[in-house]
Amino acid sequence: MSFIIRQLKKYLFFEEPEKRERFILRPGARPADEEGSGSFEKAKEKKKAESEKAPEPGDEVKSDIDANLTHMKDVYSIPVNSDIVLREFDITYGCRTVRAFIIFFDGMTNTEVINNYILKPLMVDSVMPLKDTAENLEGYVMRQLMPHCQVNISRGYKKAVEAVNFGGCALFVDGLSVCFTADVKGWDHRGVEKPNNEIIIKGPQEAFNEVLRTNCAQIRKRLKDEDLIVEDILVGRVSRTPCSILYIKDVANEALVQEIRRRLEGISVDYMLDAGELEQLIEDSTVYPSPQVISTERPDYTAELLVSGRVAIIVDGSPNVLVVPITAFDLMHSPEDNYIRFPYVNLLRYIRYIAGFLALLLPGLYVAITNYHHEMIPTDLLLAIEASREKVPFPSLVEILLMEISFELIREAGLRVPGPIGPTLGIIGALILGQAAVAANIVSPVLIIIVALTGIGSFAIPNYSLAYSVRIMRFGFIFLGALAGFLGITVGLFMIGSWSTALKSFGVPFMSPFGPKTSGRYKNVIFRAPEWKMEERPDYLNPKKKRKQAEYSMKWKHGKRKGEQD
Amino acid sequence: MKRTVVYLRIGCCLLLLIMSLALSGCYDQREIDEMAYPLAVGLDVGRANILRMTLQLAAPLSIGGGGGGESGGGGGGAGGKPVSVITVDTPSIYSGLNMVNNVISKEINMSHAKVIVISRKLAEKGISKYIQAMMRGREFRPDMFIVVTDDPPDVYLREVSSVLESNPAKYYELLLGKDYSSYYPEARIADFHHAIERLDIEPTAVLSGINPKESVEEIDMMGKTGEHYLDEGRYEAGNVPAVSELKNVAMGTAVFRGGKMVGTLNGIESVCFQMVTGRYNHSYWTIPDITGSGNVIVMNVVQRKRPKTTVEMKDGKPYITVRLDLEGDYTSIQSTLEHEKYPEAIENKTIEVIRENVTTFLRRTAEEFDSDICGLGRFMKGKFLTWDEWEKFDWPSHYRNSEFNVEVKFKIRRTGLIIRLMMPELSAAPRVASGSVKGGWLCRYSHGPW
Repeated sequence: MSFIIRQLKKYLFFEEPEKRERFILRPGARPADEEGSGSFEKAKEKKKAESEKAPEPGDEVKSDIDANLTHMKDVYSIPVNSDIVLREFDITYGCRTVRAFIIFFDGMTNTEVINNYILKPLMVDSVMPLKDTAENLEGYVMRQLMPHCQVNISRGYKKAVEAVNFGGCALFVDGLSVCFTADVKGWDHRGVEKPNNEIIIKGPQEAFNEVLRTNCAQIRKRLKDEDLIVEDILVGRVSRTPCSILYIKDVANEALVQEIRRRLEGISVDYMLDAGELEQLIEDSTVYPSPQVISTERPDYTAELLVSGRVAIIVDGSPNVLVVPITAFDLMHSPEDNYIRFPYVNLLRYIRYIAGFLALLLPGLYVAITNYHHEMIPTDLLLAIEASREKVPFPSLVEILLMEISFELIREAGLRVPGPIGPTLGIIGALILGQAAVAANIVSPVLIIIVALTGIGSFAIPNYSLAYSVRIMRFGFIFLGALAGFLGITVGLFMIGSWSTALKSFGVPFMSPFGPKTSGRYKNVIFRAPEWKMEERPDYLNPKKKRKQAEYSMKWKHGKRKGEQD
Repeated sequence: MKRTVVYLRIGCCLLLLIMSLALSGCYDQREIDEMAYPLAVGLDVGRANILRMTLQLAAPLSIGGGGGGESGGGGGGAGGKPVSVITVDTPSIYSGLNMVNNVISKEINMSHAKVIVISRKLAEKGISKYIQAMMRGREFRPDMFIVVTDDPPDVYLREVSSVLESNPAKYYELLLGKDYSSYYPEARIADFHHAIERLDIEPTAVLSGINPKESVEEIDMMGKTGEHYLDEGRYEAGNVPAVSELKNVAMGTAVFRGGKMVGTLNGIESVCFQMVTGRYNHSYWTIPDITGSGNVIVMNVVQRKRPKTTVEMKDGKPYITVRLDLEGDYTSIQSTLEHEKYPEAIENKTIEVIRENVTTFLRRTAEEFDSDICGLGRFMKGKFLTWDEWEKFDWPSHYRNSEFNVEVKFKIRRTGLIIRLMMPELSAAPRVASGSVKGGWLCRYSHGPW
């Protein structure tokens, strides 16, 4: 009983909310307070310490090869596990023979590399006389017998196992309490192809693929900047999925990078397989409908966003790269906006906003107007709607839900349907929606226009995830419109608006630069200024370098021509 | 425990929101097809009760083109009459709506009524109480047109047959809202209501009526007086010499004082009325030729600037000066005289005609109607410091003594001088021979019926 009274009290009386300071991206490259200060140096030291760290007790590689052999067999469940390869052989060291073995996964590694650059030197070339007799066995193997570019020495099993799991090859030699790991990845993967979902007409036509380093290289080859940092973090207790944080060292705010590091390190899951999963694990609000992270498959767009001071996260095995932080307006930008002339961009942006508005509100407005605000409709249209609805047996709410749901059905079915059947489904859908439903007096023809416009509008939204959120919210607005007409729609807009202004994406207010007003509101937010006017990076990102263009970016327009007199 | 509290809280908020919306919202939700939309309302003196109300209801199936596959997307008006007319005798407008709802199945919604038609008999008895009732009701549009007719509104509304439009609403909007001839004012119910309440202006309405003539012989019977032409603006709604399928004619203005109708203005007076109020658009004025030959010159007169009006009080009499600034183009010159060469003479003649008409009109409003429909009192109001002084001054009692001075400025802007005749064979013959583009164009024409 007292519990219920306590609960009721909670709802009826104001209670000071629990103070929870979330991350806020503050101006200044190095804030005086705790976290962000010198975070880059700290990260550097941490990585260094990690690489030099002695293995935990019980994890050290033994000098006895048999012990190592047993341990590795145990770890990889040999011989039950069939794709693991363990190859034993002998190395000649001076005048004695030393036992050794390598272990790697078949299919994940390039066997040709292993044969030619690891096995062959070790087994064949080791018979050649020692160049430097003073060299010990460890140095001899490392410096002379492994002509491969990426070889590391590790003193613990854990690291060796990690390397083998990710397409490496581990070499154990008798008498050495270290193991050598060589990076011989060679699994089959997709090449660099055209983007499938973010299609543009002008501009680069390359997309990310599933290989982490290829993706990093795609960005690096565009930026050509030594200050572009690719910082690796392993996410997932079991899967240890390599993720890279990409940022430009002298542009991105350190506090932001530190926050992303913190969030990625603070993920405790067994397996993390895709960027989509990671997005959900690091975003600020789970239930807010629209995405708070840009997920793109275009390296050129990622590079552009990095230049502005944002941070990208690449997940190995995912062709989508996450970019943070973003604002609501970034979701309405398309990668193409940078490549076409500014009058065209402004036209397209304008159309996109109209499309978003239609996709979000049109069905709700239709229901609101036809149910509550008859005086708003021109008389001719009113009578036409009345005539067309005369034989429809359902209220307009049911009618529009019916059509919206069948449209969503077609859309979902269209995704799942096997390729060759696709056109058939289109025809069936068009027939059902367009002709038969009207002829059978199940829906009115005016409604078909509404639903079609809504559908087209939602496809014109450049961000795929945003289109999802608009689809969800549309149903909310239909109900609100049916409940209370324009009042309901206004209440809905008000709620979405206040929610959006309260939201932050990685410390940046989601509605900035309008939510809190900052400068540069008319540069590249809703409309776009000409290319030469894009002088500053977005203020709300608080980057280390404010400007990205000189004041006169078109120097050729100023100054004198050759031979011109004063 | 803590999580459940959060969920409970969210749940409660949602519940409250949905409940408040659902309870306060849905009650006035109506589907379009559950409503009947009158396009016009007629008010007359009742026989069985105080008021006779006529509603002209839109029949959506014949206007909107039928539902579903049956009409096959054909044009409107396929299935019978576009409107249905209902007449009831009732004590008041709203009780009349109640009564109509007993007759028809759908709920009456007045939000698309375009016009209110009032019989002259009722107008002369006073209509301010009905106008106020309508302005108070949320459903009535404030931009409804207000029309006064000599004929009973139930007859009038039954006669309305729009031939050029499928929808009578469009007919009303085009006839009464868009002004092509200026022979009747644009009278909206909000303005009418406003004018009833104000001291410095009196209301007006469009004068309309049924033209009963069925054949040209009936026009013949109207006869003609004298040798000279009759100015086209001299008619009022009922007596226009025209025969047409469309029986409803709008011409002239109904003049009110307070809520009561006191007289009518004919077409040309309505033009003057709009000139003085500054709402004049354009119209053709027929001016007698300066040669005195019985020919006329037709002038398209437009208002260049809003009129400048001043009111002076001298010896307790308002002296009102109206300065009209007009311009015009020749539209037709009947005599062979090269009028392009004598614009001043024609201008002076036009000024004379217009000034005479406007002065006569203004005198009529003061002496005959005692009703300041032009709102000239506005220019007097500015001379008082407080509202009480202005109320005490009592403008309506002074208006009847007004002296009018009308000054007209008129300039002919485009003389319509014809430089080259447009006869293709004659003027373009050498061009055809030279094979120019324009010649080719004319050449094609010359193969035609010419």
